[in-house]
Amino acid sequence: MSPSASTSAEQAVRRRTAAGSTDIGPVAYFAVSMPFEDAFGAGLAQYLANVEFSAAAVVVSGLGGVFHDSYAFGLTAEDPQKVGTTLRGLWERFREGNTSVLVFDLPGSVTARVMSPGPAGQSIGHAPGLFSSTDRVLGIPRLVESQFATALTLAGGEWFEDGVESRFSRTLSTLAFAYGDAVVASVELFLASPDVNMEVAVEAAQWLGEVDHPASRSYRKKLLEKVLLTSRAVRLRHGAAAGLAAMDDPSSLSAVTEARERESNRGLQHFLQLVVDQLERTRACPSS
Amino acid sequence: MPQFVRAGLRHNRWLETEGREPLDFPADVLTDLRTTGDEISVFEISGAVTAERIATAFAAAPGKKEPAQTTYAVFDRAAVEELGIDIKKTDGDTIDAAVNLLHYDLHVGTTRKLIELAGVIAGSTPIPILKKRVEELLKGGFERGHLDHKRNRVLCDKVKARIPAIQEDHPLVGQEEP
Repeated sequence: MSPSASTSAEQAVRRRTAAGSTDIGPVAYFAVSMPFEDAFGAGLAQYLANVEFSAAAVVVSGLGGVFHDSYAFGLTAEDPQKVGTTLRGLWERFREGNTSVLVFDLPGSVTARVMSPGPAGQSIGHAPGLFSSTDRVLGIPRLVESQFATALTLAGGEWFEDGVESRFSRTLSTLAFAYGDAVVASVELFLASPDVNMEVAVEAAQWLGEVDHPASRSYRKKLLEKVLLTSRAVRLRHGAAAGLAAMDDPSSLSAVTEARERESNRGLQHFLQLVVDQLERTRACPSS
Repeated sequence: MPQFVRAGLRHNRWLETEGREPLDFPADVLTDLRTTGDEISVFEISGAVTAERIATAFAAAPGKKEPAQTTYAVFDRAAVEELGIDIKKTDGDTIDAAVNLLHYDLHVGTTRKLIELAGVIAGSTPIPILKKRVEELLKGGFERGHLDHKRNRVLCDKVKARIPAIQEDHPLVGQEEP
């Protein structure tokens, strides 16, 4: 049986978190009941062969507490036949419960078309509904939070240097690539925590401004503005300002100007003035 | 008056030094003052080489693949001498040959001296350069031949520097700064 999910690029989802998260992207989501049926693998392979993605990624993700890790692998139009074989190998490790397969084009955020149980005997069904990767029903936030926590632990032992991509930033970029706004939501929670490692927090704030991930740009910008205006930690405010400078979006001018006016740390005041000057130049000459 | 530059600082680490004695500085400040053999690397400003050019050479180090914000501090050589820190002339290892000629190692020896030096640097008010400006400086540095594009081609390509044909065979023919 061939999965029937539409891959139309016009499907878009806009779901907002407190800071204004937005996920946009065409994605297919397949809920699958075990035991695994060969027809599913063949159907998914056919589906991938028919979609217009130049490169696709498949993420196998647990739902309902069956398992919490994800198994992601990239595919090209040339190798969809591998799908069935790979999925069967994964399925055999999980003998009961329900799981899911997310398919999304690269680069793109994980926005899912939800599938529900179909006719009896079929392993794939379809139900209407669109979800952002930040919707907990998909299980993605829990998955991302777990991977983000691991990244944070490792980051505690890292040495951060301007101009050298840290392993922590690389991990965040990989997660953003796979899970979209759900990663930014995890960063948002982290930056709001009372006892953060400030070196890591600053790195995370700077990453928000520098990562090349257009789908989450609006959410990241709003989050940086919020951190700049509300954080009690001067270093974190600086990290947010650095992130906004990297984004170089003149629409942040009012937030940065307000932050400069209320800032009491002279070093940060000076830094914010540099950012204001840069954004004003960009506004005057957008191509600069 | 001779002045030293310590480049490659992270501006945010120095923000909370304001109004504090060096021993009360946040410990992360020392992350920017990494020593090797109890020595710390600095450069001396000359008539031809500005502090900004030294900072740019640092931002173009071969391990750096992306332009990024950077920060440097300018402080008097006399302040270092007053601390009793030995100053040794050695070759630098940046991709700017003119900058390398201005390199010194400061033999701080002890943590106490390093923290005193941190006080000098903090008192000089570290100067940040935003990423966008660093991109401009890198581009200009590569195109003028100050920065050896062959030692960091990735960064040279990233900033879209156009290297004159003559530099391909004769790097570091750098003209004077405009």
